Amino acid sequence: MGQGPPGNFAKILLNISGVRINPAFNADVSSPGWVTIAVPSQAGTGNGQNPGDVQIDLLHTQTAATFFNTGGVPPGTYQTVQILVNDTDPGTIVPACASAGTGNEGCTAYPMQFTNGSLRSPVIFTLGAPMIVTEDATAPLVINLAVSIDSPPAISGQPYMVSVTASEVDARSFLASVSGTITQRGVASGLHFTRQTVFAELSGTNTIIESVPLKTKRTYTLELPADPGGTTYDIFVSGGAGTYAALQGITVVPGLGLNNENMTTVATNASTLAGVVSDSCTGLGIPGAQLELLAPKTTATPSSSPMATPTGSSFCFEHPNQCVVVANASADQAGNYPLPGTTRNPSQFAEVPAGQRDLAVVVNASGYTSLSSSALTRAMTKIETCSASSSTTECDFSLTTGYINGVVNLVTDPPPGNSVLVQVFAENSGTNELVSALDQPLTFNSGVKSVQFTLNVPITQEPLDLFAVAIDPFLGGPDPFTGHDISVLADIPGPSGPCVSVPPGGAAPTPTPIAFAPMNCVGHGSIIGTVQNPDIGTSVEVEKLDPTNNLPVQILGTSPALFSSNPPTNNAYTLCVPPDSYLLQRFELPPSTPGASPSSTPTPAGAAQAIMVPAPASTSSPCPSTCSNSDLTTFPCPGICAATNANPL
Amino acid sequence: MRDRLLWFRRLALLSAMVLLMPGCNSGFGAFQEGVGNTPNRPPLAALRVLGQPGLQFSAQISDADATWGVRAAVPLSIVIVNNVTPVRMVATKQSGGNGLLSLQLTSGFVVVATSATSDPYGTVSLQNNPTHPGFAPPPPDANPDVRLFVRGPLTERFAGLFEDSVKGFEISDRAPTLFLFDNPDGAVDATVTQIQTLGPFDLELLLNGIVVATAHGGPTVTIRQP
Repeated sequence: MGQGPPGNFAKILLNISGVRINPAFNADVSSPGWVTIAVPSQAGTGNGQNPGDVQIDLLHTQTAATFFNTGGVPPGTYQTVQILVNDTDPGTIVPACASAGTGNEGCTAYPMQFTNGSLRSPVIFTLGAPMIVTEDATAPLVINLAVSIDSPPAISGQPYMVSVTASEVDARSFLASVSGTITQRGVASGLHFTRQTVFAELSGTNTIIESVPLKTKRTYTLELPADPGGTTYDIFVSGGAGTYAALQGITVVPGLGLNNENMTTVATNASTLAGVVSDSCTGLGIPGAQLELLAPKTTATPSSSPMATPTGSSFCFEHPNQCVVVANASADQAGNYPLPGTTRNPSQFAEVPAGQRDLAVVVNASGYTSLSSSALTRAMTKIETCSASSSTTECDFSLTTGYINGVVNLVTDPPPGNSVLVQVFAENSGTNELVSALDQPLTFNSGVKSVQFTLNVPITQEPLDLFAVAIDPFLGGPDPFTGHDISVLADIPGPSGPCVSVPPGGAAPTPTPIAFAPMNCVGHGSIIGTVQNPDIGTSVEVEKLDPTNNLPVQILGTSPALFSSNPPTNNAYTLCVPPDSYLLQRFELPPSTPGASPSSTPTPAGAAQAIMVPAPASTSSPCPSTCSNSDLTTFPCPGICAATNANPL
Repeated sequence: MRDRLLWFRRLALLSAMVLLMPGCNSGFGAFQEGVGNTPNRPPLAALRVLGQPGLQFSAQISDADATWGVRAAVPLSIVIVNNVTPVRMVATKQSGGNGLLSLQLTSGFVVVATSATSDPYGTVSLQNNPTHPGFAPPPPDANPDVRLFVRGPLTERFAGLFEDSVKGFEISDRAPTLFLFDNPDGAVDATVTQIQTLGPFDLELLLNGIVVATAHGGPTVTIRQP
């Protein structure tokens, strides 16, 4: 849980390098007996292997708990907890405009420092009631982290002096418990080194929230973050030389205990799904391409049998909405997958149950059309069969793509010795569903006002919206927000087929690329507002009209689960946007339906609100601030930004 | 007897670790050892791309001499060998979800700067100096573009040497790691040794985007540019 200080902030980021617990009452940092729960595997390399921090945004964890990690500890009673905050780089604060102290810039990153002068001061507290950890059981611990500001920065770029405190929160108010038994039929003949493990992921995604190995009696217990409005998970079991089994759409609320979420697997040997992911136009491998393996939910209809589907098809290939993601893999620099794991912690794609015939694989890469295929591996022959593969022995996949040729323009080029980087994004028209971005940002050097680009986009036969965002520093340091206005293009027709360009290329006369309106150096701006009676599915999007057709393009919005009307409540938001005219639109997600994968498509709620964020006055000092231009008839750099308040949505 | 053999094997493995640990004592990254009275140079900056496993990203990485484009998936460590500071990384999530993309600049074992985004297709940047390179244009693309990719096994600690015809650099990190060699003089080669022996090594050497050599095995493997 997170709790930010009073005031208007876009981000309060705290860098956590671990949590440790001690059996002693009121233990101090030098007491014996500390046991560390390391950062999770997605930060650092996990398992206590430095370096690596988890960066937690306290503003975006104020309405619900976020999972940190599960760690093995000796059974016993623990009474003291310490949060290990990175003592070299403890965190970052991004205030709204006019919220960083007099004369200080907003919507830029400020470092944190502890007020007592030492970042090594422990964030430590004693539990009200001792935490009892028993063998083969999971004990939940929910911690509330609060940052208070003791003094704002003296000047832009200087640190906020802060104090960080931690306290215990009643787990039943934020967590739900899901438990069950895994039955495995038969005995595998081959060697296997991994234990069967139960995973919980956000329903309809591959975002793993928690995983626990099976206990000795083949039971499991998951302690899952839960929203009062309901949080929906998919739960599956994998590893241990068994077939996959999955439960889809398990909706939980705080304090709920689901006790009979049982699954059955069939013993089999593990085998590997491997191959290469390549571009169908160039034949080159696609680095970083992602592969997801789908397995059916236990109650799928028509009923799925892991051993009965004919070769060349599969249940999950035909019914993907009744399947959950049970394994992930990534392609390497040459497009080969999976990356090698270890004997005891193998790649998830090296633990695929041999002979399980109801699986499917989905291949994704930004800018490419997703590809779905049946997937079948055999342990003895090492031959893989995938319906969409171009190989008869491996699962090699070729992804299709098309191209949009465009040009980004600046009002004025950067001064000598300076540059401007610009990134271009594409999203499905009328939505915030981004589908592509340039691999490398465009570089504008002094004397350059126009740069052409070619953007890979998926083939969908649907129009796209494009927008261009500059990546500007502030006073030379990295800045999370742009200083240029954002240029948009709405309703651009997508490529009609694989390897096709828009506008078409190759024919004379040379086609004119699609042009963005020139981007201007305008400085920072922010919008502060509230939403009325929100829930966890409420969001606010900032839209900008394309000047040529007056259609809105969604350019940014609030993060998921920012709002809640249930304690702890939050109905306020701060968005950093460059000065310009925008529309603010409220969206709502449909409520969760138990047993079903939730819809991810939000719908507009109410009318859009027009809002104008004013540009700050120009200045010559400091210059460059966030950007500058070569127009020396006026001051060339934006000054300190001012806040803009929106009406309640 | 079998136990004694196992004990000797462990002793041998421990000895190998001690011999290969000088780089590790300084932490992860790449290091240039001094010769004679020349002092050792501090560890070179290492960049870690962390967050949601499997998350796709693209990045522009530059030092004072050269710029590299990288497209890959989380997690990945990136080390510029023979670098000339300042070092900067600008990364874009190539994914529409709210998964975390976290750039972390490390020196030795210490995280000295962090920048993260969970926005769909969010962009983040990080540099090793508070104000530089700042607004300066990125240098030209690396030419030749020489990369050593230690693919796996995942989380395996390793140490070794990455060298051109003139200079050698001790390297120490955890797989997967991508080493970018800034301005190599002649052909490069690398010898790396596993510290944990979690499984066979898997290495690729890339020249201008093309895999020109691969190596597989362990605990010590050598890979050479043809």
